[in-house]
Amino acid sequence: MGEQHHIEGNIQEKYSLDDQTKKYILGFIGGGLLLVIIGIVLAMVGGHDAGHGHGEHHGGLHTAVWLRQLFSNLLINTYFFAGIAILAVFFLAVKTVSNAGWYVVIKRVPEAISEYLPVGLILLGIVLLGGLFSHSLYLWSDEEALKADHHYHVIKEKLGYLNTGFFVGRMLLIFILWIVFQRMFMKHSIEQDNPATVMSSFNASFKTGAIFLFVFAITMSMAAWDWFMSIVPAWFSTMFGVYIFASSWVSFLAMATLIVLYLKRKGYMGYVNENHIHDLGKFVFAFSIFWTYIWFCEYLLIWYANIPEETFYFYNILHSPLYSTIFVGKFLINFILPFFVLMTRDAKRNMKTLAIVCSCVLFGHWLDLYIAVFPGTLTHEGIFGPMEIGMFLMFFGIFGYFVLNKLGQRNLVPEHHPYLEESLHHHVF
Amino acid sequence: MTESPIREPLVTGKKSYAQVTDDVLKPIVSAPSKEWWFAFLISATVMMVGLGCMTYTVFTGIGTWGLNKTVGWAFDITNFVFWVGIGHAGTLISAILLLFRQGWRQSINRAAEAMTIFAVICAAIFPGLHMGRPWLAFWVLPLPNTHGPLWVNFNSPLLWDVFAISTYFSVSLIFWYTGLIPDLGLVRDKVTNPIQKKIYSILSFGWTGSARAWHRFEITSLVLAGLATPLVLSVHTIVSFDFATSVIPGWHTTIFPPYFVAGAIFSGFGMVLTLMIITREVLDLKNYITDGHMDAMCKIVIATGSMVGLAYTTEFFIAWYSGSIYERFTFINRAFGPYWWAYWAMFTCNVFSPQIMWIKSIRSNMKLVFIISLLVNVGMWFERYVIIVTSLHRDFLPSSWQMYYPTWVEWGTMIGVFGIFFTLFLLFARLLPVIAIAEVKSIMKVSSDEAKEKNTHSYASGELNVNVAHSPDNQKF
Repeated sequence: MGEQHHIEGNIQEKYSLDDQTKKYILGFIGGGLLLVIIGIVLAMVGGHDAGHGHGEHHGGLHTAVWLRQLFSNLLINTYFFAGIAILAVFFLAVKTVSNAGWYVVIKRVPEAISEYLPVGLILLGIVLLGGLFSHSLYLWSDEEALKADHHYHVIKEKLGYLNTGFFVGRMLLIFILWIVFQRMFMKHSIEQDNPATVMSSFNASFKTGAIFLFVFAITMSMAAWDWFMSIVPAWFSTMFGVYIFASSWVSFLAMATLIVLYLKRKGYMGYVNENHIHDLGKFVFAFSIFWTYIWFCEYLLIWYANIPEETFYFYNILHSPLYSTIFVGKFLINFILPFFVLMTRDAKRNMKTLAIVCSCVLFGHWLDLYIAVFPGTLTHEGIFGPMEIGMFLMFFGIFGYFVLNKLGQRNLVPEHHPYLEESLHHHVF
Repeated sequence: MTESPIREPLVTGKKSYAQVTDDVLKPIVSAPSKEWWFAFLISATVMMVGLGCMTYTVFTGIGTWGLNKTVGWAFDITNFVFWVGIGHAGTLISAILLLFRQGWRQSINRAAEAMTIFAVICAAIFPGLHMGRPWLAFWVLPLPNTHGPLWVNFNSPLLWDVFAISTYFSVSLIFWYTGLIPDLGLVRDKVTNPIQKKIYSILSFGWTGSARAWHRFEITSLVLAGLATPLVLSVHTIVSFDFATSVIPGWHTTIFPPYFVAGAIFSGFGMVLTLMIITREVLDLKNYITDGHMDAMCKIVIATGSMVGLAYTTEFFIAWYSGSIYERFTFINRAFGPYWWAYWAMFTCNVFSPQIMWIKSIRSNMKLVFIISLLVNVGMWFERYVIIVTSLHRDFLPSSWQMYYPTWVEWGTMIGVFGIFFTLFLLFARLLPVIAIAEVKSIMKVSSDEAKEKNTHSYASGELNVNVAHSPDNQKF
């Protein structure tokens, strides 16, 4: 390894969205939309919610099934991509604070992903408010349904936290904080493109990163409790915030890796060598294990203690053929697959293998959210059909368009970053 | 390897390789100072007090402790968890920080790993004593036996603890010792006394320093690092299971595993800071354990302290949110019940005190950092005390509510174990190189202040790709 690293590619290149990619994106959005419409029609005409009404002994929400299904899908997908975007900010903060150098050549990718955040949060906000006021997501928001629920005696204890006014207030606070920090990181990034301000901005970014990590720890937990845990308002788990964080974090890592691999396939980023790819692979591998650790600890402790107040949550999932299949399936996709496939060094350096694993893992963590939402909103009427697939494709297209568009607006490499040399010569032993 | 010139040097003082060897081996080849003897005698005396209390416990029985039917374990398990937690920093530094390519780990890993091993020894004493008949301690192993179908309870997290901690101890010990071998070879070549020479020669397994020896050494280290990584997570996760698998409010909470791991790293770094601040001062190693090293460790303490704070807050909030009267009572009782002082001591030391290190001038003031590191140790001891005693002392039946008061035997054992720990550490600092000499030398071409200056020079003259790191004489690294 004593020989000179030959740096390939042009570090002054700029990305532009080509026609083929545009076609794909349009295909995703159009095809997704079509599937969603088919899904809605099927859900409305299907006699699914015929017997469902006020007399239902299962409790739960009273709103029409198709509406709940629609909002559940909207919540999953708006959060899934907004979550990826906020975790991109987290990535930038961690890399800044820990003084990392290797990632500089791919820094534009998380930056571009983070640029989706404002859009993603506006969409998420609309969905949360819509779900709240149409009573199709949160049982606690519907007084009538809540009183009929057999968990009412527990849930009424928490209405001081779970009420519309406070919920919306917290939501706005989280949104504002996240967007402010995302803008601050972009401001730093733009300043670092200017040789005159690069060092002052670089030094100042440590503080932004550290404060963000502090704020993020609290807001992320709150977001997980509010948006997902409160879907089953009687249930509680202290691990839940960490779990949603771990899920979104792996989603982000997989997404960022996929975008880097896409760019390389399109002929960009020649200077990103197998060592950078190896590091991204290690991240996906390691945090897949981390996610599994969090998921397993939560499940094991609840299963072992077997307290009815907690166990019913997993009982309902495991006693539904659909949910239990997905529950086990996501474990296979999110753990078994990356663990065994990405175990070796060669696999992490092989772009094809990595692309396949990352795509699967991305979908697997989308399923995390499915399991966090559907068993609560649709209870035993859960469904996985065209609407679910379509909505994912549609949002994937929207997200992809925004991110790639942002990516094209600046040079692909931050030329004046003080660690650029380190990153260009990055080598993993 | 290219390193940006703006990164702080990890070795200062423009040292040559020979100087590194001399500096680190100085305490081994010279006679111990008066201060060392003073510290050693105090530690050894405290250790003897502890051994006395332990002997008394074993001969009389654990009735000498302040336990009662409501609080069935207290000081013993608190101290056990405390010491296991301290033992986390070593493996974190040698395995996880290795994976994250944190070069600064290289001059503190040896001492931190030694600390890990001593801490695990200290931890193991407590469950051993609580068995009452420590000579039957081997019954915790699933051995075929003459008791018929009598086996250990595989469903019990206490048994998982036995597996996890014994594995952890073995791997840490082997990892630490393997790392020592090349340095022991150096010591052997350095000492002049023939008996010492013989001993170090045996300890170094006749290290030759040949290319083949280095090759095997590096492969072994890598495999051991891989084995050690999951152990960092598993040990304290399973310790947390001891509590969290139960149905006791305050114990049964799902965030326990990562929260215990974060707490363990936090307390481990608290102890590393305490020891390193003294070691670098007394052994004159400030060129290797630089202010930059201290700064990085302080930052880890802030980060893990904040994680622990987040876990405390989450627990408290979710206890209310659960709507369960038992959960709510337990946490109100923790903060405002008869043990309120323990709860607030924990909260102040662990959550508030590290936060003042956000200020750079406080991080670089070693006296203040030393005080904070002691507060972290105290706070983490109280954390375990709070979790264990306050959750137990007022259980589901108010008629059996009791307070727990430790006896002098328990105090003596606890303090005595600190004596054991410091005695072992002082012996280590005298007899073995406290810094991994070979590893520090391996980064000097890139990360020493001298290399930095050359590098900056070539950086300035535009020869970006031809810096020292790529020169042919660095091929070995």
